[in-house]
Amino acid sequence: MKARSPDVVLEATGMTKRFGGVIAVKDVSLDVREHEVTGLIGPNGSGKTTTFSMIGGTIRPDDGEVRLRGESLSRRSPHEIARRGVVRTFQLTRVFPQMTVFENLTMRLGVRRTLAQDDLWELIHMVGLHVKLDAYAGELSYGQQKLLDLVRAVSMKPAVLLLDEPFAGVNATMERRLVDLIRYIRRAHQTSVFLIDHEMNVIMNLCDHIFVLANGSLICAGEPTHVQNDPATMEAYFGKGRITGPRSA
Amino acid sequence: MTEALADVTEGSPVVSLTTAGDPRHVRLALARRRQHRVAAGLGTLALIPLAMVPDIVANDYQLRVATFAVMYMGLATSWNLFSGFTGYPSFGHAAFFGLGAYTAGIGTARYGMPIWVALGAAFFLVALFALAMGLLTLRLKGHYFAVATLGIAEAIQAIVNWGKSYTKGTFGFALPLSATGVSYATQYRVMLGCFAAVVALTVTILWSRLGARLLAVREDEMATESLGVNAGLVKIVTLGLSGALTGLFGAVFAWVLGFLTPDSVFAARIGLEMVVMTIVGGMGTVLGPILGGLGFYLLPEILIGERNEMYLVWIGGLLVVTVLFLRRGVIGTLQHSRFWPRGLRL
Repeated sequence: MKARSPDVVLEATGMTKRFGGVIAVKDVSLDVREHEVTGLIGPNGSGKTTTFSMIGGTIRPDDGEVRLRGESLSRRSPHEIARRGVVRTFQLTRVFPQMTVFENLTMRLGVRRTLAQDDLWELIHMVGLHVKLDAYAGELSYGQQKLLDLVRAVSMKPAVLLLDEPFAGVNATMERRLVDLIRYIRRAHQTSVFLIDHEMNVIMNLCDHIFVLANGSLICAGEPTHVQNDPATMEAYFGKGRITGPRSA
Repeated sequence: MTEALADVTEGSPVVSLTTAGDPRHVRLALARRRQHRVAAGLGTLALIPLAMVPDIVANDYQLRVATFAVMYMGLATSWNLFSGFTGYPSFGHAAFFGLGAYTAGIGTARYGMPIWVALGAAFFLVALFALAMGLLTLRLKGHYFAVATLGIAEAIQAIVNWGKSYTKGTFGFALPLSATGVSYATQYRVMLGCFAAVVALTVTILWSRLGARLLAVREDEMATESLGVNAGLVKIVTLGLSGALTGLFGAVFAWVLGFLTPDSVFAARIGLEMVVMTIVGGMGTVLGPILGGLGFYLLPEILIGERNEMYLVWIGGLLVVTVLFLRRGVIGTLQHSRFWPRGLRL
Protein backbone atom coordinates (compact mmCIF):
# COMPACT_ATOMS: atom_id res chain seq x y z
CA MET A 1 0.00 0.00 0.00
CA LYS A 2 1.40 3.32 -1.09
CA ALA A 3 1.93 5.73 1.80
CA ARG A 4 0.29 9.13 1.55
CA SER A 5 2.46 12.17 1.29
CA PRO A 6 3.16 13.33 4.86
CA ASP A 7 2.65 17.02 4.11
CA VAL A 8 -0.90 18.19 4.70
CA VAL A 9 -1.78 21.26 2.60
CA LEU A 10 -5.44 21.64 3.33
CA GLU A 11 -7.16 20.28 6.38
CA ALA A 12 -10.86 20.44 7.19
CA THR A 13 -11.97 19.26 10.61
CA GLY A 14 -15.44 18.64 11.99
CA MET A 15 -17.24 20.42 9.12
CA THR A 16 -20.97 20.61 9.74
CA LYS A 17 -23.71 22.43 7.83
CA ARG A 18 -27.44 22.43 8.44
CA PHE A 19 -30.02 23.85 6.06
CA GLY A 20 -33.12 24.22 8.20
CA GLY A 21 -33.81 20.74 9.56
CA VAL A 22 -31.57 18.99 7.05
CA ILE A 23 -28.02 18.21 8.02
CA ALA A 24 -26.25 18.51 4.68
CA VAL A 25 -22.79 17.80 6.03
CA LYS A 26 -22.18 16.18 9.39
CA ASP A 27 -18.84 16.29 11.20
CA VAL A 28 -16.71 15.71 8.12
CA SER A 29 -12.94 15.79 8.49
CA LEU A 30 -10.63 15.38 5.54
CA ASP A 31 -7.30 16.53 4.26
CA VAL A 32 -5.45 17.17 1.04
CA ARG A 33 -1.78 16.28 0.87
CA GLU A 34 0.99 18.01 -1.02
CA HIS A 35 1.03 17.26 -4.78
CA GLU A 36 -1.63 14.60 -4.54
CA VAL A 37 -4.87 14.36 -6.44
CA THR A 38 -7.56 13.78 -3.86
CA GLY A 39 -11.07 12.73 -4.82
CA LEU A 40 -14.38 13.35 -3.11
CA ILE A 41 -17.14 11.04 -4.26
CA GLY A 42 -20.60 10.14 -3.14
CA PRO A 43 -24.15 9.83 -4.44
CA ASN A 44 -26.20 12.90 -5.41
CA GLY A 45 -27.12 14.97 -2.40
CA SER A 46 -24.42 13.49 -0.21
CA GLY A 47 -22.93 16.90 0.57
CA LYS A 48 -19.95 17.06 -1.76
CA THR A 49 -20.59 20.50 -3.21
CA THR A 50 -21.62 21.86 0.19
CA THR A 51 -18.28 20.66 1.55
CA PHE A 52 -16.47 22.41 -1.31
CA SER A 53 -18.44 25.58 -0.77
CA MET A 54 -17.54 25.59 2.92
CA ILE A 55 -13.87 25.21 2.06
CA GLY A 56 -14.13 27.92 -0.59
CA GLY A 57 -15.95 30.28 1.76
CA THR A 58 -19.19 30.70 -0.19
CA ILE A 59 -21.10 28.79 2.49
CA ARG A 60 -20.33 29.46 6.13
CA PRO A 61 -20.11 26.21 8.11
CA ASP A 62 -22.11 25.85 11.32
CA ASP A 63 -19.17 24.07 12.85
CA GLY A 64 -15.67 23.01 11.94
CA GLU A 65 -12.53 24.59 10.67
CA VAL A 66 -10.48 24.73 7.50
CA ARG A 67 -6.74 25.24 7.60
CA LEU A 68 -4.36 25.90 4.74
CA ARG A 69 -0.83 24.91 5.77
CA GLY A 70 -1.85 25.49 9.37
CA GLU A 71 -3.45 28.89 8.81
CA SER A 72 -7.16 29.05 9.56
CA LEU A 73 -9.41 30.03 6.67
CA SER A 74 -12.59 30.13 8.72
CA ARG A 75 -14.57 33.37 8.49
CA ARG A 76 -12.55 34.55 5.51
CA SER A 77 -14.44 35.73 2.46
CA PRO A 78 -14.22 33.78 -0.82
CA HIS A 79 -11.80 36.21 -2.46
CA GLU A 80 -9.43 36.11 0.52
CA ILE A 81 -9.47 32.32 0.52
CA ALA A 82 -8.79 32.31 -3.23
CA ARG A 83 -5.92 34.73 -2.79
CA ARG A 84 -4.41 32.58 -0.07
CA GLY A 85 -4.24 29.69 -2.47
CA VAL A 86 -7.47 27.68 -2.35
CA VAL A 87 -9.03 28.22 -5.76
CA ARG A 88 -12.21 26.54 -6.90
CA THR A 89 -14.07 25.97 -10.11
CA PHE A 90 -17.81 25.41 -10.22
CA GLN A 91 -19.99 22.54 -11.38
CA LEU A 92 -21.14 24.53 -14.38
CA THR A 93 -18.30 26.50 -15.92
CA ARG A 94 -18.25 30.10 -14.82
CA VAL A 95 -16.29 31.84 -17.56
CA PHE A 96 -17.35 35.41 -18.31
CA PRO A 97 -19.34 34.82 -21.51
CA GLN A 98 -19.42 38.39 -22.82
CA MET A 99 -15.75 38.98 -22.24
CA THR A 100 -13.08 37.70 -24.60
CA VAL A 101 -10.83 34.81 -23.67
CA PHE A 102 -8.04 37.37 -23.34
CA GLU A 103 -10.12 39.52 -20.98
CA ASN A 104 -11.08 36.43 -18.96
CA LEU A 105 -7.39 35.78 -18.41
CA THR A 106 -6.21 39.36 -17.83
CA MET A 107 -9.06 40.51 -15.60
CA ARG A 108 -7.31 39.56 -12.38
CA LEU A 109 -3.88 41.13 -12.82
CA GLY A 110 -4.36 43.54 -15.70
CA VAL A 111 -2.90 43.19 -19.18
CA ARG A 112 0.69 44.13 -18.45
CA ARG A 113 1.27 41.81 -15.53
CA THR A 114 -0.60 38.94 -17.13
CA LEU A 115 1.50 39.21 -20.29
CA ALA A 116 4.57 38.57 -18.15
CA GLN A 117 3.18 35.23 -16.97
CA ASP A 118 4.91 32.91 -19.40
CA ASP A 119 3.64 29.71 -17.83
CA LEU A 120 0.03 30.88 -18.26
CA TRP A 121 0.46 31.52 -21.98
CA GLU A 122 2.28 28.23 -22.35
CA LEU A 123 -0.73 26.51 -20.82
CA ILE A 124 -3.11 28.42 -23.09
CA HIS A 125 -1.06 27.32 -26.07
CA MET A 126 -1.08 23.76 -24.81
CA VAL A 127 -4.86 23.59 -24.63
CA GLY A 128 -5.20 25.29 -28.01
CA LEU A 129 -6.96 28.42 -26.81
CA HIS A 130 -4.25 30.72 -28.20
CA VAL A 131 -6.17 30.88 -31.48
CA LYS A 132 -9.33 31.91 -29.66
CA LEU A 133 -7.97 34.78 -27.57
CA ASP A 134 -10.22 37.42 -29.10
CA ALA A 135 -13.38 35.31 -29.17
CA TYR A 136 -16.04 35.90 -26.54
CA ALA A 137 -15.83 33.13 -23.97
CA GLY A 138 -19.54 32.50 -24.54
CA GLU A 139 -18.76 31.61 -28.16
CA LEU A 140 -16.47 28.74 -27.16
CA SER A 141 -17.65 25.14 -27.06
CA TYR A 142 -18.51 23.77 -23.64
CA GLY A 143 -15.29 21.79 -23.53
CA GLN A 144 -13.22 24.84 -24.43
CA GLN A 145 -15.00 26.80 -21.71
CA LYS A 146 -14.00 24.08 -19.25
CA LEU A 147 -10.40 24.38 -20.37
CA LEU A 148 -10.50 28.16 -20.03
CA ASP A 149 -12.10 27.87 -16.60
CA LEU A 150 -9.39 25.48 -15.49
CA VAL A 151 -6.49 27.48 -16.93
CA ARG A 152 -7.89 30.67 -15.41
CA ALA A 153 -8.00 28.99 -11.99
CA VAL A 154 -4.47 27.62 -12.43
CA SER A 155 -3.23 31.12 -13.33
CA MET A 156 -3.73 31.99 -9.67
CA LYS A 157 -0.95 29.53 -8.82
CA PRO A 158 -3.11 27.85 -6.20
CA ALA A 159 -1.78 25.65 -3.44
CA VAL A 160 -4.96 23.61 -3.73
CA LEU A 161 -7.22 23.50 -6.75
CA LEU A 162 -10.81 22.53 -5.96
CA LEU A 163 -12.55 21.12 -9.03
CA ASP A 164 -16.29 20.51 -8.81
CA GLU A 165 -17.19 17.84 -11.37
CA PRO A 166 -14.64 18.82 -14.00
CA PHE A 167 -15.67 15.93 -16.26
CA ALA A 168 -19.42 16.42 -16.16
CA GLY A 169 -20.97 16.87 -19.57
CA VAL A 170 -17.82 16.56 -21.67
CA ASN A 171 -17.15 13.91 -24.32
CA ALA A 172 -14.50 11.22 -24.03
CA THR A 173 -11.87 13.13 -25.98
CA MET A 174 -12.29 16.22 -23.88
CA GLU A 175 -12.26 14.08 -20.75
CA ARG A 176 -8.84 12.69 -21.70
CA ARG A 177 -7.55 16.19 -22.39
CA LEU A 178 -8.80 17.39 -19.03
CA VAL A 179 -7.19 14.43 -17.26
CA ASP A 180 -3.91 15.11 -19.02
CA LEU A 181 -4.17 18.77 -18.14
CA ILE A 182 -4.84 18.05 -14.47
CA ARG A 183 -1.87 15.68 -14.34
CA TYR A 184 0.30 18.27 -16.05
CA ILE A 185 -0.82 21.02 -13.70
CA ARG A 186 -0.03 18.94 -10.67
CA ARG A 187 3.41 18.08 -11.97
CA ALA A 188 4.46 21.38 -13.55
CA HIS A 189 2.75 23.79 -11.19
CA GLN A 190 3.25 21.87 -7.96
CA THR A 191 -0.42 22.11 -7.20
CA SER A 192 -2.51 19.77 -5.10
CA VAL A 193 -5.85 18.90 -6.64
CA PHE A 194 -9.07 18.12 -4.81
CA LEU A 195 -11.89 17.07 -7.07
CA ILE A 196 -15.48 15.91 -7.03
CA ASP A 197 -16.75 13.63 -9.74
CA HIS A 198 -19.01 10.78 -10.67
CA GLU A 199 -16.85 9.32 -13.41
CA MET A 200 -15.56 6.31 -11.50
CA ASN A 201 -13.08 5.31 -14.21
CA VAL A 202 -11.39 8.66 -14.14
CA ILE A 203 -11.54 9.02 -10.38
CA MET A 204 -9.97 5.63 -9.79
CA ASN A 205 -7.30 6.37 -12.36
CA LEU A 206 -6.45 9.88 -11.42
CA CYS A 207 -6.72 10.07 -7.65
CA ASP A 208 -4.12 9.13 -5.09
CA HIS A 209 -6.60 9.23 -2.26
CA ILE A 210 -10.39 9.21 -2.12
CA PHE A 211 -12.97 10.30 0.43
CA VAL A 212 -16.50 8.93 0.20
CA LEU A 213 -19.51 10.89 1.44
CA ALA A 214 -23.01 9.53 1.96
CA ASN A 215 -25.87 11.44 3.55
CA GLY A 216 -23.47 14.12 4.72
CA SER A 217 -21.12 11.79 6.56
CA LEU A 218 -17.74 10.41 5.64
CA ILE A 219 -18.15 6.65 5.22
CA CYS A 220 -14.84 5.64 3.72
CA ALA A 221 -11.40 7.00 2.89
CA GLY A 222 -8.35 5.47 1.31
CA GLU A 223 -6.59 4.78 -1.93
CA PRO A 224 -8.71 3.88 -4.98
CA THR A 225 -8.43 0.11 -4.69
CA HIS A 226 -9.45 0.24 -1.06
CA VAL A 227 -12.47 2.44 -1.74
CA GLN A 228 -13.48 0.32 -4.69
CA ASN A 229 -13.66 -2.76 -2.53
CA ASP A 230 -15.36 -1.10 0.40
CA PRO A 231 -18.81 -2.60 1.01
CA ALA A 232 -20.23 0.57 2.58
CA THR A 233 -19.26 2.60 -0.47
CA MET A 234 -20.79 0.08 -2.82
CA GLU A 235 -23.95 0.08 -0.78
CA ALA A 236 -24.16 3.88 -0.78
CA TYR A 237 -23.77 3.97 -4.53
CA PHE A 238 -25.72 0.97 -5.71
CA GLY A 239 -27.99 -0.06 -2.86
CA LYS A 240 -27.90 -3.13 -0.68
CA GLY A 241 -27.36 -6.58 -2.10
CA ARG A 242 -27.34 -5.63 -5.75
CA ILE A 243 -23.67 -5.59 -6.46
CA THR A 244 -21.49 -8.48 -5.55
CA GLY A 245 -18.06 -7.15 -6.33
CA PRO A 246 -16.12 -4.13 -7.51
CA ARG A 247 -17.14 -2.91 -10.89
CA SER A 248 -16.04 -0.12 -13.10
CA ALA A 249 -18.71 2.36 -14.04
CA MET B 1 -4.05 64.31 -22.49
CA THR B 2 -4.63 61.62 -25.05
CA GLU B 3 -1.17 60.17 -24.87
CA ALA B 4 -1.17 60.29 -21.12
CA LEU B 5 -4.48 58.48 -21.12
CA ALA B 6 -3.21 55.66 -23.28
CA ASP B 7 -0.14 55.30 -21.07
CA VAL B 8 -2.18 55.06 -17.93
CA THR B 9 -4.39 52.41 -19.42
CA GLU B 10 -1.81 50.13 -20.90
CA GLY B 11 1.27 50.96 -18.93
CA SER B 12 4.78 51.36 -20.27
CA PRO B 13 5.79 48.82 -22.87
CA VAL B 14 7.13 45.70 -21.22
CA VAL B 15 7.18 43.78 -24.44
CA SER B 16 9.22 44.50 -27.50
CA LEU B 17 7.43 46.65 -30.04
CA THR B 18 8.57 44.50 -32.92
CA THR B 19 5.53 42.43 -33.72
CA ALA B 20 7.03 40.05 -36.25
CA GLY B 21 7.95 37.12 -34.02
CA ASP B 22 5.70 37.87 -31.08
CA PRO B 23 3.30 35.29 -29.83
CA ARG B 24 -0.40 35.87 -30.43
CA HIS B 25 -1.25 37.20 -26.99
CA VAL B 26 1.42 39.88 -27.24
CA ARG B 27 0.33 40.83 -30.75
CA LEU B 28 -3.23 41.08 -29.53
CA ALA B 29 -2.28 43.31 -26.61
CA LEU B 30 -0.24 45.59 -28.88
CA ALA B 31 -3.02 45.83 -31.43
CA ARG B 32 -5.49 46.69 -28.70
CA ARG B 33 -3.21 49.41 -27.39
CA ARG B 34 -2.93 50.91 -30.86
CA GLN B 35 -6.71 50.87 -31.19
CA HIS B 36 -7.05 52.57 -27.83
CA ARG B 37 -4.61 55.29 -28.84
CA VAL B 38 -6.43 55.94 -32.09
CA ALA B 39 -9.76 56.05 -30.28
CA ALA B 40 -8.44 58.42 -27.62
CA GLY B 41 -6.97 60.62 -30.36
CA LEU B 42 -10.22 60.75 -32.29
CA GLY B 43 -12.10 61.49 -29.07
CA THR B 44 -9.83 64.42 -28.34
CA LEU B 45 -10.25 65.71 -31.89
CA ALA B 46 -14.02 65.53 -31.50
CA LEU B 47 -13.70 68.02 -28.66
CA ILE B 48 -12.67 70.75 -31.10
CA PRO B 49 -16.00 71.04 -32.95
CA LEU B 50 -17.81 70.58 -29.65
CA ALA B 51 -15.88 73.46 -28.14
CA MET B 52 -16.81 75.60 -31.14
CA VAL B 53 -20.54 75.08 -30.70
CA PRO B 54 -21.05 78.53 -29.05
CA ASP B 55 -19.64 80.15 -32.20
CA ILE B 56 -21.88 78.13 -34.48
CA VAL B 57 -25.30 78.23 -32.85
CA ALA B 58 -27.82 80.84 -33.99
CA ASN B 59 -29.01 82.12 -30.63
CA ASP B 60 -28.79 81.82 -26.87
CA TYR B 61 -31.66 79.37 -26.77
CA GLN B 62 -29.78 76.88 -28.91
CA LEU B 63 -26.67 77.34 -26.81
CA ARG B 64 -28.75 76.64 -23.73
CA VAL B 65 -30.08 73.46 -25.32
CA ALA B 66 -26.53 72.44 -26.24
CA THR B 67 -25.41 73.02 -22.64
CA PHE B 68 -28.08 70.74 -21.25
CA ALA B 69 -27.52 68.16 -23.99
CA VAL B 70 -23.86 67.96 -22.94
CA MET B 71 -24.96 67.70 -19.32
CA TYR B 72 -27.23 64.76 -20.09
CA MET B 73 -24.46 63.06 -22.06
CA GLY B 74 -22.28 63.44 -18.99
CA LEU B 75 -24.99 62.25 -16.62
CA ALA B 76 -25.67 59.14 -18.68
CA THR B 77 -21.93 58.48 -18.83
CA SER B 78 -21.66 58.84 -15.04
CA TRP B 79 -24.57 56.47 -14.50
CA ASN B 80 -23.11 53.99 -16.96
CA LEU B 81 -19.78 54.02 -15.14
CA PHE B 82 -21.37 52.15 -12.28
CA SER B 83 -24.63 50.62 -13.46
CA GLY B 84 -23.66 49.97 -17.07
CA PHE B 85 -20.41 48.22 -16.29
CA THR B 86 -21.42 46.30 -13.16
CA GLY B 87 -25.00 45.59 -14.21
CA TYR B 88 -26.41 46.90 -10.92
CA PRO B 89 -29.26 49.15 -12.07
CA SER B 90 -29.32 52.24 -9.88
CA PHE B 91 -32.56 54.19 -10.00
CA GLY B 92 -31.33 56.54 -7.32
CA HIS B 93 -28.84 58.68 -9.20
CA ALA B 94 -31.29 61.59 -8.97
CA ALA B 95 -30.29 61.73 -5.30
CA PHE B 96 -26.64 62.27 -6.25
CA PHE B 97 -27.60 64.92 -8.78
CA GLY B 98 -29.84 66.73 -6.32
CA LEU B 99 -27.40 66.52 -3.43
CA GLY B 100 -24.66 67.90 -5.66
CA ALA B 101 -26.88 70.78 -6.71
CA TYR B 102 -27.98 71.51 -3.13
CA THR B 103 -24.45 71.26 -1.76
CA ALA B 104 -23.32 73.86 -4.27
CA GLY B 105 -26.46 75.94 -3.68
CA ILE B 106 -26.35 75.92 0.11
CA GLY B 107 -22.57 76.24 0.08
CA THR B 108 -22.73 79.46 -1.89
CA ALA B 109 -25.98 80.88 -0.49
CA ARG B 110 -25.48 80.07 3.19
CA TYR B 111 -21.74 79.83 3.69
CA GLY B 112 -20.56 82.20 0.98
CA MET B 113 -18.30 79.65 -0.68
CA PRO B 114 -16.79 80.63 -4.00
CA ILE B 115 -18.44 78.54 -6.71
CA TRP B 116 -15.27 76.52 -7.41
CA VAL B 117 -15.03 75.51 -3.77
CA ALA B 118 -18.73 74.64 -3.82
CA LEU B 119 -18.22 72.37 -6.85
CA GLY B 120 -15.43 70.53 -5.05
CA ALA B 121 -17.53 70.25 -1.91
CA ALA B 122 -20.38 68.81 -3.95
CA PHE B 123 -18.07 66.23 -5.49
CA PHE B 124 -16.68 64.99 -2.18
CA LEU B 125 -19.87 65.16 -0.17
CA VAL B 126 -21.82 63.22 -2.77
CA ALA B 127 -18.96 60.70 -2.99
CA LEU B 128 -19.35 60.09 0.75
CA PHE B 129 -23.10 59.80 0.40
CA ALA B 130 -22.77 57.36 -2.50
CA LEU B 131 -20.36 55.22 -0.47
CA ALA B 132 -22.82 55.14 2.41
CA MET B 133 -25.66 54.26 0.06
CA GLY B 134 -23.47 51.51 -1.40
CA LEU B 135 -22.86 50.04 2.05
CA LEU B 136 -26.62 49.88 2.56
CA THR B 137 -27.75 48.64 -0.83
CA LEU B 138 -24.95 46.69 -2.52
CA ARG B 139 -25.86 43.48 -0.76
CA LEU B 140 -28.96 43.52 -2.94
CA LYS B 141 -29.04 42.59 -6.60
CA GLY B 142 -31.22 43.22 -9.65
CA HIS B 143 -34.69 44.53 -8.97
CA TYR B 144 -34.12 44.65 -5.24
CA PHE B 145 -31.15 46.94 -5.71
CA ALA B 146 -33.10 49.11 -8.17
CA VAL B 147 -36.03 49.55 -5.78
CA ALA B 148 -33.79 50.21 -2.78
CA THR B 149 -31.90 52.97 -4.60
CA LEU B 150 -35.15 54.49 -5.86
CA GLY B 151 -36.50 54.47 -2.31
CA ILE B 152 -33.43 56.19 -0.90
CA ALA B 153 -33.58 58.86 -3.60
CA GLU B 154 -37.25 59.54 -2.84
CA ALA B 155 -36.48 59.71 0.86
CA ILE B 156 -33.74 62.27 0.27
CA GLN B 157 -36.10 64.48 -1.71
CA ALA B 158 -38.67 64.22 1.07
CA ILE B 159 -36.05 65.23 3.63
CA VAL B 160 -35.02 68.24 1.57
CA ASN B 161 -38.67 69.27 1.25
CA TRP B 162 -39.17 68.84 4.96
CA GLY B 163 -36.04 70.64 6.24
CA LYS B 164 -37.45 74.08 5.37
CA SER B 165 -35.32 76.10 7.75
CA TYR B 166 -32.16 74.82 6.09
CA THR B 167 -33.18 74.06 2.51
CA LYS B 168 -36.10 76.49 2.08
CA GLY B 169 -38.26 73.44 1.33
CA THR B 170 -40.33 73.32 -1.81
CA PHE B 171 -39.98 77.07 -2.42
CA GLY B 172 -36.36 76.73 -3.32
CA PHE B 173 -33.83 79.53 -3.30
CA ALA B 174 -31.56 81.53 -5.57
CA LEU B 175 -27.78 81.15 -5.64
CA PRO B 176 -26.05 84.47 -4.96
CA LEU B 177 -22.94 83.49 -6.83
CA SER B 178 -24.79 82.01 -9.73
CA ALA B 179 -23.65 82.18 -13.30
CA THR B 180 -25.12 85.64 -13.85
CA GLY B 181 -22.39 87.71 -15.36
CA VAL B 182 -20.76 84.66 -16.90
CA SER B 183 -21.52 84.26 -20.57
CA TYR B 184 -23.58 81.35 -21.82
CA ALA B 185 -20.59 80.30 -23.92
CA THR B 186 -18.45 79.94 -20.80
CA GLN B 187 -21.17 78.03 -19.02
CA TYR B 188 -21.38 75.68 -21.98
CA ARG B 189 -17.62 75.16 -22.01
CA VAL B 190 -17.51 74.43 -18.28
CA MET B 191 -20.17 71.79 -18.82
CA LEU B 192 -18.23 70.44 -21.80
CA GLY B 193 -15.06 70.27 -19.69
CA CYS B 194 -16.86 68.21 -17.05
CA PHE B 195 -18.26 65.95 -19.74
CA ALA B 196 -14.83 65.42 -21.35
CA ALA B 197 -13.31 64.64 -17.95
CA VAL B 198 -15.99 62.06 -17.19
CA VAL B 199 -15.52 60.35 -20.55
CA ALA B 200 -11.73 60.36 -20.18
CA LEU B 201 -12.09 58.85 -16.72
CA THR B 202 -14.50 56.23 -18.03
CA VAL B 203 -12.19 54.96 -20.76
CA THR B 204 -9.22 55.06 -18.41
CA ILE B 205 -11.13 52.82 -16.01
CA LEU B 206 -12.67 50.62 -18.70
CA TRP B 207 -9.33 49.88 -20.35
CA SER B 208 -7.63 49.16 -17.05
CA ARG B 209 -7.82 46.21 -14.70
CA LEU B 210 -10.61 47.89 -12.74
CA GLY B 211 -12.75 48.06 -15.88
CA ALA B 212 -12.24 44.39 -16.63
CA ARG B 213 -13.18 43.61 -13.05
CA LEU B 214 -16.36 45.66 -13.29
CA LEU B 215 -17.38 43.71 -16.38
CA ALA B 216 -16.50 40.48 -14.61
CA VAL B 217 -18.78 41.46 -11.72
CA ARG B 218 -21.54 42.07 -14.24
CA GLU B 219 -20.95 38.67 -15.81
CA ASP B 220 -20.59 36.54 -12.70
CA GLU B 221 -19.90 37.96 -9.29
CA MET B 222 -19.25 34.65 -7.57
CA ALA B 223 -16.75 33.56 -10.21
CA THR B 224 -15.04 36.95 -9.89
CA GLU B 225 -14.68 36.42 -6.13
CA SER B 226 -13.38 32.91 -6.69
CA LEU B 227 -10.54 34.44 -8.71
CA GLY B 228 -9.42 36.43 -5.70
CA VAL B 229 -11.08 39.72 -6.62
CA ASN B 230 -12.84 41.69 -3.90
CA ALA B 231 -16.04 42.32 -5.84
CA GLY B 232 -17.62 44.28 -3.00
CA LEU B 233 -14.76 46.77 -2.95
CA VAL B 234 -14.77 47.11 -6.74
CA LYS B 235 -18.49 47.87 -6.70
CA ILE B 236 -18.51 50.37 -3.88
CA VAL B 237 -15.52 52.34 -5.12
CA THR B 238 -17.12 52.67 -8.53
CA LEU B 239 -20.48 53.62 -7.10
CA GLY B 240 -18.75 56.33 -5.04
CA LEU B 241 -17.05 57.69 -8.14
CA SER B 242 -20.17 57.47 -10.29
CA GLY B 243 -22.18 59.25 -7.61
CA ALA B 244 -19.59 61.97 -7.15
CA LEU B 245 -19.50 62.70 -10.87
CA THR B 246 -23.28 62.86 -10.99
CA GLY B 247 -23.14 65.24 -8.03
CA LEU B 248 -20.63 67.39 -9.85
CA PHE B 249 -23.01 67.77 -12.77
CA GLY B 250 -25.73 68.66 -10.28
CA ALA B 251 -23.53 71.40 -8.86
CA VAL B 252 -22.73 72.81 -12.30
CA PHE B 253 -26.42 72.63 -13.13
CA ALA B 254 -27.25 74.68 -10.02
CA TRP B 255 -24.63 77.21 -11.01
CA VAL B 256 -25.98 77.47 -14.55
CA LEU B 257 -29.61 77.67 -13.44
CA GLY B 258 -29.09 80.04 -10.53
CA PHE B 259 -32.21 78.85 -8.77
CA LEU B 260 -32.97 75.56 -7.05
CA THR B 261 -36.11 73.72 -6.04
CA PRO B 262 -36.17 70.10 -4.88
CA ASP B 263 -38.34 69.11 -7.79
CA SER B 264 -35.94 70.52 -10.37
CA VAL B 265 -33.01 68.39 -9.21
CA PHE B 266 -34.32 65.52 -7.07
CA ALA B 267 -37.19 64.30 -9.26
CA ALA B 268 -37.07 60.54 -9.84
CA ARG B 269 -37.55 61.42 -13.52
CA ILE B 270 -33.93 62.65 -13.67
CA GLY B 271 -32.59 59.32 -12.45
CA LEU B 272 -34.90 57.53 -14.83
CA GLU B 273 -33.69 59.59 -17.77
CA MET B 274 -30.09 58.58 -17.13
CA VAL B 275 -31.21 54.95 -17.12
CA VAL B 276 -33.24 55.16 -20.31
CA MET B 277 -30.62 57.17 -22.22
CA THR B 278 -27.96 54.61 -21.38
CA ILE B 279 -30.13 51.59 -22.16
CA VAL B 280 -31.12 53.01 -25.53
CA GLY B 281 -27.55 54.04 -26.38
CA GLY B 282 -25.95 50.87 -25.06
CA MET B 283 -25.22 49.90 -21.45
CA GLY B 284 -21.64 49.09 -20.65
CA THR B 285 -20.21 50.92 -23.65
CA VAL B 286 -18.51 54.32 -23.72
CA LEU B 287 -20.25 55.67 -26.79
CA GLY B 288 -23.70 54.36 -25.87
CA PRO B 289 -24.57 56.81 -23.08
CA ILE B 290 -23.09 59.68 -25.11
CA LEU B 291 -25.27 58.89 -28.10
CA GLY B 292 -28.23 58.13 -25.85
CA GLY B 293 -27.89 61.40 -23.93
CA LEU B 294 -27.50 63.43 -27.10
CA GLY B 295 -30.33 61.75 -28.95
CA PHE B 296 -32.66 61.85 -26.03
CA TYR B 297 -32.16 65.50 -25.37
CA LEU B 298 -31.98 66.76 -28.92
CA LEU B 299 -34.57 64.66 -30.75
CA PRO B 300 -37.62 66.03 -28.94
CA GLU B 301 -36.15 69.50 -29.34
CA ILE B 302 -35.75 69.06 -33.07
CA LEU B 303 -38.97 67.18 -33.73
CA ILE B 304 -41.35 68.92 -31.39
CA GLY B 305 -39.64 72.27 -31.42
CA GLU B 306 -40.19 72.84 -27.73
CA ARG B 307 -39.87 70.91 -24.51
CA ASN B 308 -43.26 69.81 -23.39
CA GLU B 309 -44.74 66.71 -21.87
CA MET B 310 -44.62 65.01 -25.27
CA TYR B 311 -41.06 64.00 -24.51
CA LEU B 312 -42.43 61.42 -22.10
CA VAL B 313 -44.06 59.70 -25.04
CA TRP B 314 -40.66 59.70 -26.66
CA ILE B 315 -39.01 58.10 -23.68
CA GLY B 316 -41.60 55.35 -23.54
CA GLY B 317 -41.63 54.71 -27.28
CA LEU B 318 -37.86 54.58 -27.70
CA LEU B 319 -37.46 52.33 -24.69
CA VAL B 320 -40.03 49.86 -26.02
CA VAL B 321 -38.40 49.80 -29.45
CA THR B 322 -34.95 49.31 -27.92
CA VAL B 323 -36.03 46.54 -25.58
CA LEU B 324 -37.83 44.74 -28.42
CA PHE B 325 -35.36 45.10 -31.26
CA LEU B 326 -32.01 46.30 -29.91
CA ARG B 327 -31.56 44.62 -26.58
CA ARG B 328 -27.98 45.83 -26.24
CA GLY B 329 -28.87 49.36 -27.30
CA VAL B 330 -27.74 51.07 -30.48
CA ILE B 331 -24.01 51.06 -29.81
CA GLY B 332 -24.07 47.74 -28.00
CA THR B 333 -25.71 46.03 -30.96
CA LEU B 334 -23.19 47.58 -33.32
CA GLN B 335 -20.28 46.44 -31.18
CA HIS B 336 -21.66 42.92 -30.98
CA SER B 337 -21.86 42.61 -34.75
CA ARG B 338 -19.12 40.67 -36.45
CA PHE B 339 -17.60 43.80 -37.96
CA TRP B 340 -16.45 45.07 -34.60
CA PRO B 341 -13.16 43.78 -33.16
CA ARG B 342 -13.97 41.57 -30.18
CA GLY B 343 -12.75 43.07 -26.95
CA LEU B 344 -12.32 46.61 -28.30
CA ARG B 345 -14.41 48.39 -25.72
CA LEU B 346 -15.64 51.83 -26.67
